[in-house]
Amino acid sequence: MQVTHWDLALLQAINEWLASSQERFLIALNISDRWPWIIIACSFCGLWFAGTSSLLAKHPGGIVRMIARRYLIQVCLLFPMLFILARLVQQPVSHVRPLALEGILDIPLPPRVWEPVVHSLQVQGSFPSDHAVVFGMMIVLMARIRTAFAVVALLVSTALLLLRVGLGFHWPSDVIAGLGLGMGTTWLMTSPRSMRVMSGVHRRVLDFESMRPRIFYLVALVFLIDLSQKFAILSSMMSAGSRLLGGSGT
Amino acid sequence: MQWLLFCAIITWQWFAESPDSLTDATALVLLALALHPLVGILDLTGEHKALAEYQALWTSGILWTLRHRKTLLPWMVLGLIMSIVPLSGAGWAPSGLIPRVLVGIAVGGMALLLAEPLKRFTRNLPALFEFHGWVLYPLSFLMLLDVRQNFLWLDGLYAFMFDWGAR
Repeated sequence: MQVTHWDLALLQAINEWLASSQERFLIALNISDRWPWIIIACSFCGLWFAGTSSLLAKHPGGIVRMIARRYLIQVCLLFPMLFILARLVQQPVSHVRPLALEGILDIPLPPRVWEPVVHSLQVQGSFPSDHAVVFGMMIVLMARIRTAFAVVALLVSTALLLLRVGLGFHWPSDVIAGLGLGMGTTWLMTSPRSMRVMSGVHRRVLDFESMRPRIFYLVALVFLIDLSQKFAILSSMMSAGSRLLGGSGT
Repeated sequence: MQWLLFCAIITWQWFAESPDSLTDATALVLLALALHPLVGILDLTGEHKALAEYQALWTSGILWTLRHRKTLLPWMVLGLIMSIVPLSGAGWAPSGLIPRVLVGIAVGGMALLLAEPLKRFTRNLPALFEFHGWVLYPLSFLMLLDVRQNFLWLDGLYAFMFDWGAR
């Protein structure tokens, strides 16, 4: 895939600001590694308990907990599918990450710190950004629940995604495509029609939560812990499973 | 894995039917946070720090449970069994095991002393969680996440506070 002029110009402008101080670059590196996933896990957790448990909101524009929970269940069901979809698109579209190209980025870190970062990211494609897909999903989820939340989500997402561009993990076009994919899919999946179609599933999940809260929240905890580390447990289980299947086949 | 089990037990207890369970589980998490720097100081050998802390937490949990006769007991026994199984290469050697058990008993005793004041402090928690759950549950999740990574953020916070105090 061809790199456009504006892609390069925007990337270099953000990178120049970020690389002007080694400390700033290191902080950005630490934040962009794990914090997006922790923020998303905390947002899920907060939204689940937001609002009033009654059938009507306390004040106009307030949140009714049951409605927020239905949207959240819908998004949790969509989440793995979106993640897999982003990875599937990444496979055929060959878009080299900016950090893999020499001479376009200013990196104020010693090679022993920076090289492991480059190696860890080179195995995965760049287009679209899976972080952007997930943030696009969060923005639409928040917009469905409360507009003010969506504004906060948009600001946080923009800041974190700009950091990833400035660090050379993604081109701006990867981020825009990711946001578009995440927002579009979530908008469709949380439309009134889709919510009606899935209402039976939502009811079952909510019934299970009220009847077996201990089991429900135990599973939720494991899901959120795994989400906060970008599904590391799930990925290792899947790769172990595929190794096992591959091994038994030979 | 040990820490994940601890988090799982806390969550299990948190969402039990009785409101007392939430109080107990929260008290145990607060205890874990409060005892964390203490275990570091009490660790006799300076080795196997994580295991010593883990052992101490379980022992204090068992003593806490025995005192209040709560349903946490079976979990705590399971935890004790898991904590003495040589999970991270410390082995059954007395040099590794004895300090851990000693620290556990010492901190567990302290937990007993702290039990009543903590109980008073956490009594209003169910009502608080009902009305401010949207912020308290994410905070609790962050706490559990930190417990799971062996108090990485808490260590950073304590280091920052010591630095700030020293200035």
